Amino acid sequence: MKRAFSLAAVLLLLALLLTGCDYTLVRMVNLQDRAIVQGVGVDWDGSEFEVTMQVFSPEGAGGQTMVDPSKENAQMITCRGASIAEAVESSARNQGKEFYLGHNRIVILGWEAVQQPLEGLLSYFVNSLDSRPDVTILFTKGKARDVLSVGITQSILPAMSIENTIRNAERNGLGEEVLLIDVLEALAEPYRDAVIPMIETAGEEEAELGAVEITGVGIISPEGYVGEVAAGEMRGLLTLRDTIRGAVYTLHTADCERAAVQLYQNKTKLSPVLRDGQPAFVAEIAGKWTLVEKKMRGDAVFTEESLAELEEALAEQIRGECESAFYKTVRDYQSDVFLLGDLLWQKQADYWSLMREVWPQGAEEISIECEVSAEIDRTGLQIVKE
Amino acid sequence: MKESKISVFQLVVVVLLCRSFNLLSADILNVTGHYGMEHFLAIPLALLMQAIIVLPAFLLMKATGRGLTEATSWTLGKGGMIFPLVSCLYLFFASAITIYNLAVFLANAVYPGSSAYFFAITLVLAAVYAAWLGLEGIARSAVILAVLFVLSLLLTVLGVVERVNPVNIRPLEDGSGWNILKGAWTLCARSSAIYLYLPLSEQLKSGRRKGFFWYLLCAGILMECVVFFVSTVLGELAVKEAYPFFMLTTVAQISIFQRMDALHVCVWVAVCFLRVTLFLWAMREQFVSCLPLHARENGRARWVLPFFALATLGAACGMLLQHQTAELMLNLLSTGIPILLLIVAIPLVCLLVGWIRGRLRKGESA
Amino acid sequence: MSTTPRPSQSPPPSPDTEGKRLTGDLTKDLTALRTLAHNTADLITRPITVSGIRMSFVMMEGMTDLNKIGQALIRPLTSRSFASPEAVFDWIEQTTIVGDVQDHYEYEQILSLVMIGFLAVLVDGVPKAVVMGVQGFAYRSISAPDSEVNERGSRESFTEPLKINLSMIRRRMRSGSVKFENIELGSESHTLAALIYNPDAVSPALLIEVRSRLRRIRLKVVLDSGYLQPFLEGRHRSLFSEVGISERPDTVCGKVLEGRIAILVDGSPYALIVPYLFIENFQSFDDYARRPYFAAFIRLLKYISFAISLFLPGLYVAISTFHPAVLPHALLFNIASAEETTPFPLMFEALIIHFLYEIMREAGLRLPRPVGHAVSIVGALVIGDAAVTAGIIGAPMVMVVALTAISSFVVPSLYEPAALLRFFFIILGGLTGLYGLALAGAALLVNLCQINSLGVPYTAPVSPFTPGAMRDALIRSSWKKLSGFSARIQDLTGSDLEESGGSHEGK
Repeated sequence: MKRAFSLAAVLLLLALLLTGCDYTLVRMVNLQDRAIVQGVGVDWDGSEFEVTMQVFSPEGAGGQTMVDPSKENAQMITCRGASIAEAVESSARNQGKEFYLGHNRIVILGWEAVQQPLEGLLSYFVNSLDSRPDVTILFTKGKARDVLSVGITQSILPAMSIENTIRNAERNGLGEEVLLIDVLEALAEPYRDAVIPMIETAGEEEAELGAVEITGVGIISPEGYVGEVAAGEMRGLLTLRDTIRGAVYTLHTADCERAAVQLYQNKTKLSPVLRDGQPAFVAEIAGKWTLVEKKMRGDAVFTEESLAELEEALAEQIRGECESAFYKTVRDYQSDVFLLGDLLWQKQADYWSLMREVWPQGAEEISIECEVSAEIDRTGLQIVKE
Repeated sequence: MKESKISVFQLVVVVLLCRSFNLLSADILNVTGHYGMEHFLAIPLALLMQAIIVLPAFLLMKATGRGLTEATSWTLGKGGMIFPLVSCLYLFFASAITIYNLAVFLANAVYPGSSAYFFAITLVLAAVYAAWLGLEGIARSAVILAVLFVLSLLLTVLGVVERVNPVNIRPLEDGSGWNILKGAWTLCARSSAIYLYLPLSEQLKSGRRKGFFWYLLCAGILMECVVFFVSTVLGELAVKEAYPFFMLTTVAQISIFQRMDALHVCVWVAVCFLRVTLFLWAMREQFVSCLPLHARENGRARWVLPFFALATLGAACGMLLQHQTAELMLNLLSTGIPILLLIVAIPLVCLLVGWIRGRLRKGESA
Repeated sequence: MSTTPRPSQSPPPSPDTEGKRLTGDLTKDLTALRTLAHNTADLITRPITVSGIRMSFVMMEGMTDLNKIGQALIRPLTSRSFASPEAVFDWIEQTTIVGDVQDHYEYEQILSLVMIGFLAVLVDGVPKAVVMGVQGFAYRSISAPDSEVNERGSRESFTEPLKINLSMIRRRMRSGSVKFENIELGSESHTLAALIYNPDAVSPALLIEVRSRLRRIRLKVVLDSGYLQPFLEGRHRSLFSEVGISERPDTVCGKVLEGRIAILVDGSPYALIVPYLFIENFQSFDDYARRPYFAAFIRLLKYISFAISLFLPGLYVAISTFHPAVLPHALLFNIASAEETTPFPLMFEALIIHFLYEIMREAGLRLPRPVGHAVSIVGALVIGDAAVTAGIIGAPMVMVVALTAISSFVVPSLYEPAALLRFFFIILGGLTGLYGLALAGAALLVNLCQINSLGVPYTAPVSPFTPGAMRDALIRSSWKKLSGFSARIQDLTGSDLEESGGSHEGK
């Protein structure tokens, strides 16, 4: 009896699985039938979405399995529709594979698209089961299609190169890699805003090395694009957000005609305080730096005093950039990209209960005090005289 | 020579694993509406509530020197059958909801476009086989699965630790006290594991209370850890997600290893399989204890397990057809009435009747 | 099962044995023996006359040592004179210098001993025979083990004759710690077997159970120890065997001292060991000869290899088909490029290539040695190059099958279940993805955990957990630590066996 039951169960299962009945038991897509998407560009032309997908299309190096990184290995597929999902579906008219977003690396939003509420724009990628929440989000002032179509051959695929570019920019304090989940997290609270890096196609002279360029970050509210923070205030913004990983500052002091210092470790802590009933924020910025390059004036010798002067100059510069970035975003754009609201909620709950409904609009009068500690504790192989 | 089929350690591990399956479902996890301080405080309060509501059951076991099922029939006589029958009903719905939850999760989050019924059917088939093999195999495999589960958790935690931001923890507000209380009660009411502990502990000769204490402690630590990471990494985004802990695994990244969520889901499938197996096994044991001796001996009892499996599968498929049924069931369980009936009311009645009938032992411990 | 009586204590004749006993008439007795042996051509009866007294030597051709017979028996016999047949008989029984001397009255007993190489001496006028152990049949010499190869340690393995095997064990255990208990199996073959155990360590319950299971064997012929295996296993349906096998005498000695029972069967170079635990598949004799850190590393390697041999093909198929997001980008691109031009889905590719591999492995086992190396050439060409070049399978799949094959040989004792389960997991992975693998893996784990090998949990000491025994489970601790733990099988947590040792003879 037991054997009969077991046999019946196994046969039933096999029958269900192998007979290919009309209903789908476990939906399977063979690897040969998948179009592996590496990059997605979303543009809006006023009436419909134009979705550009960069799909992996191998161009082997002679062997059957080798992927040649010197070739583009990418195919661009453009499709249109009233929604992103409809646009993706319409691509079935002119290509024979099913899009697979599980390895999608970047989503680039075009200028027109980023003006729209972001949650709706990104909902396709949020709800898609394949799509990963750690995909890098970028936007451009032009067409996303143009950026995605640039033929970069630094990696196996252009999209990988773009992703590497933004990561490299983050490592050097020239940008911040923002993931889909970061954007969603920021927009989960109505009083928060998100930052998204801005990318453009590079000028002709740089076309040989890498044809795209990170040109700043954009401030995005739940309603859409608010403004941009350009290169000058970028480092200040990243420092206050505590996302700066590295940066190079060039300083000029009485002794040093030119000195370059590189950040290798930074910690920023923001704390809200109430002064005369008004909130202010104190930013404690502690950074550790390496002296990588210097040119002394005349016969000046590099001493401990020179080092102290450099640190002071550095701290001053950082302070200025941070304050500039703070006032630009908080006062000019009335946006909260530093989690100020959350900090107020935690530390000044009474004030927060009053401001919660209007935040960050009610934050114009908020000020910041930057207490910067810049320690140049690595000076390379040359000695520092006392 | 071993004293009982399973040890205290195995019992604690197996019940803890069953409890941990609830980490997948936001509905069960999000009991205060937000993932913040309210939730942090609701968890220990829920554990305290659980420790209190099981007291009548432990008292009954101690007073009669018997397991809970046997104690009810010892004190109430034939009327004691009500306990195993109500237990079966409770376990039946709890297992149906578990199967439904897993089927929906897999069809929605892992295998888009697939049939949820397929997952339900295969899970029940596998669970029936394992339940038929017996408690020893289940308990021993639970210990090994627990190691895998802890590894999976550790990997997830290591992968998201860089994204932890304590500012995401929502602070307490006015009215938080009531939310905490409500959330604690919901957590307590939905915890089928505390009920599962009691009939399983009948297999032990000693150490039941100590085991229960350890279970509560470990469950509390596990839940606090999960809520901590969900809160600090996802913040309010977690409230909008159907499966926030699953989202955490999709975000976790260690070196070149990304999107390991599929592997974590494997562990969760195994944990869910264990949970359903235990429910089926416990249902069978409870029901068979109601059968007359000759029915147990002539082999008719061997049909109980397949029957319950089919019934549970039918209920789960019914829930898949009509999702509102699952909502209704979950809401009913959340009221706490079933748990109160099983763990508090019936043992109290048994204690009273047993005292009246002189069926309670004096000075002996369970 | 019958027990050979001790020499010189033959049971006295009784009315029940009438017609089955020696008459004392040499001619009649020889005729009866021939008839009982169906006049087999290899039964030799060599008559001689000593002091006018007729006697005959009865032996099987090729089974006895003729030199020993000549020196120990014939020469001294012919140089003496005897007064009566009884005197001849007594002299032979008491004076002959050979190992095992018995006297028997019944034809069947005499013939069964003659069949295993004993020499029977019948004296005309004496209604009993002297049977002496002068075996001298040809047998395979002691060689290095084939399946349990080691770097350090003994190179001796069991051979076919039971006595030789028992002597190898006795040479290693020169104390009363090891006891041999003879049994006879097979109603036609009358195969000799021996239980080997430590009377001070073995659980009486275990001994009783093993004897009981062997007693229930109703086989006509027992040609190998493998015949006994199914009878020693429990009722659990599992792909994994609860009975261990070993061809090494040192391994058997070690197991016996842990309270286990070994069974050697005449004609088989493999000993059976019960109870047997799952972790023992990963233990080898070399572990104890190496440094602990390296032994621990190799032990862990074996566990990983087993997991690879079992799950890798199924995992590869499942992940590539259903969950490609798990793979790193570059790897996915290579796999996708390779699979672009292949005609079959990954699941069929995996099934085909693994099936081909099994065919070649089996062919390599059966082919004669001169031709055997051709299999490796064909295999390398067929699988390694031609299949990939022809576009039938992708290169990553070749890597997978190669890694799987190599890993499966790291733990040869688990090859059979792993080979079958591998196909099962490939199908599951290809049809249901990681969900199916997880569910089947969990069910397999429960199946494994519910096995009790003669009362001892099969997955001990991992689960149920025995802390002390873990020193030799997943890793191998140093000898100083190992010597501090009493390693009896019945002491493992969850064991149903009595904790006391002792054989309780007669129970």
